Amino acid sequence: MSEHLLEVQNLRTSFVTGGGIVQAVRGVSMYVDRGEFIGIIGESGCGKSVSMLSVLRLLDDNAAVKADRIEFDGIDLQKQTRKSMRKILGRQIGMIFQDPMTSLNPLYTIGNQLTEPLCYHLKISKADARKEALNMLETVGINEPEKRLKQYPHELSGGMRQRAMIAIAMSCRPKLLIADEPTTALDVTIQAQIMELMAELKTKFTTSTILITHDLGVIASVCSRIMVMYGGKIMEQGTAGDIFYRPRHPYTEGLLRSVPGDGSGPKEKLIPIPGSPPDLMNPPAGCPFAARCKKAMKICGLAMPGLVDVAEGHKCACWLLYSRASGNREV
Amino acid sequence: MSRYIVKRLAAAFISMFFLITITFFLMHAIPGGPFSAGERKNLNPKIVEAIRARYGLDQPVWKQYVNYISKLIQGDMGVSYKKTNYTVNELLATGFPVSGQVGILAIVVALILGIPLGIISALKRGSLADMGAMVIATIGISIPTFVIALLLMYVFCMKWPVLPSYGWGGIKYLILPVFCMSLSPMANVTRLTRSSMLEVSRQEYIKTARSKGLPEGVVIFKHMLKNALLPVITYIGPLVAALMTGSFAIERLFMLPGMGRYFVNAVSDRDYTVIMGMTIFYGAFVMLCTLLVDIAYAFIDPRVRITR
Repeated sequence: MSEHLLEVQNLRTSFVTGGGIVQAVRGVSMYVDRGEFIGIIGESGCGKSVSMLSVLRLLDDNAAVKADRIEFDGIDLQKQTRKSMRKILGRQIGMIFQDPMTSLNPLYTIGNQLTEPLCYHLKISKADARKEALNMLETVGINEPEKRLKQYPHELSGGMRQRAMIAIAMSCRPKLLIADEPTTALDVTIQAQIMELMAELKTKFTTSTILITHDLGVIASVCSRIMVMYGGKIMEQGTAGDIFYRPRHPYTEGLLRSVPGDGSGPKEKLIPIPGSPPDLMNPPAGCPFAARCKKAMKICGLAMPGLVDVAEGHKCACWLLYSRASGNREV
Repeated sequence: MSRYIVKRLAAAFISMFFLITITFFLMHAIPGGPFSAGERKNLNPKIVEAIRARYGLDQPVWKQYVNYISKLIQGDMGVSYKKTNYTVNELLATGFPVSGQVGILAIVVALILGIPLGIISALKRGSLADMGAMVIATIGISIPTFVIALLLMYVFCMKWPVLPSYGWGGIKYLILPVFCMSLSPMANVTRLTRSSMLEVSRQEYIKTARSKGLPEGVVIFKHMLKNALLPVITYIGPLVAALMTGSFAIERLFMLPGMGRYFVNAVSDRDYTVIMGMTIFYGAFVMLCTLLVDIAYAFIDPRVRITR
């Protein structure tokens, strides 16, 4: 029994497809503490969403999920049946998806979709659920909540829909909220508002939050801890300060360089990371980033390094950090 | 909503006018006529001339058209040239109840069997149930109804005589024709429901519904099915019109006094008034069913709801 709210050890997820087996997540270990706001960052297809969906068992039937341990609030999630899992989903763990245009059912009103989890999980009457729904819409900053309850998703703007989606996910006061790229489909101004709202709700309800994103800007302001994923593995993890100011992994460094940064003028150059992510149908034996890494050594292509502590709470999986590495800078 | 319906009815009226006009002139453009010499060799040309004059067929086509329209406006579709002593209105009034009854039952059977089969095969994709449903669907689509009808007659009327092979009278007489007629639409409904359910099951909002921890039944029937049925409803509109106006093959094989057979016979007989009557009736029916489908759509899907 751990003090962590969610603890995942050595999670491996693969998909059986027509072309072969895709190893989307290859040995991810992580945890979230109560009331913590953490971020998982990585480019598309690195396994960040899949790892979370694996934990919640929301993947399709062609997915095989294995893990040494998946424990949520003292409950072993791997031992849950489909039925008992449903008692946890929506009640203890809420989830927000990327595109609010498609994540709400077009044929039902906001009110209908918002009161659904309340009625099922809290077993309260329709009238009480409606009251709570109004309350919730107000909390997420939707004006005229009475009117919105009767509206359909297509009658709301993107930002509004995502707020409604957050209201649905938070309606039963879950202990954990997983947000899968909640701002990717929104305008930049709306993105900031949504992030602000999520930070606010986290404090208000002391909900732990896992934010999945590929946007470094989004993650910087709100997350206390950040995990950098690549090729189905965690490459580096640490506090926001560690990741942004003291990155140790060449991939993290590359990510930071490829983002328009501090506004050092119009001449500021973005440096892309050349190449493309590894084929997870035949994942490389060594570090998945080796093929694109400027600092790659012979060993990088042969074996995957383990996560090494570089500072208190700051871990990194790179051969450069091993003392015998020739290109090593310190340690 | 009512304004929309009025608008649609006006549009239907215009379509109807074109349908009548085009059919009328096309029909007359075909060589020969109901009493042309080729058909009644032994008839004295003078008598033929008299008959043609009696029905107004000796006048120029445009005048016949004007005559027809002016009578039609008064609700008179004329008398049949071949089924003597019957007006077209009478033929429709006796034929439609029979065809309509068989048709509506066939649709009900097709939906009652097709939708659940489609749902099951979508949910258990790749399973034995799915393959079974798809085999039934493929058979239903590919084997012509008259072959099935003959097979069923052989089994249920000859080998194991429990059902009548022809006639009209009670439920017993309905079973075989309705089954034959429902087979192909049932197959189509199954395939449509299946592909539509599969499509919907991949949508984000289904993942949302699951992430809310809703019972599987609610996810399937509330969140998936309602969305999945939209294309099925689109298909049902014209289908209702087609089935309820009768099938020539089925009505011929089972000797049903429906209107399907008049349609085909009228064309080969050049029975002008019956051709026109059937076309008008069928056309109006299709337009009505399409309108009903569009109205139903607006009730189900808020995105197409008319806000005026």
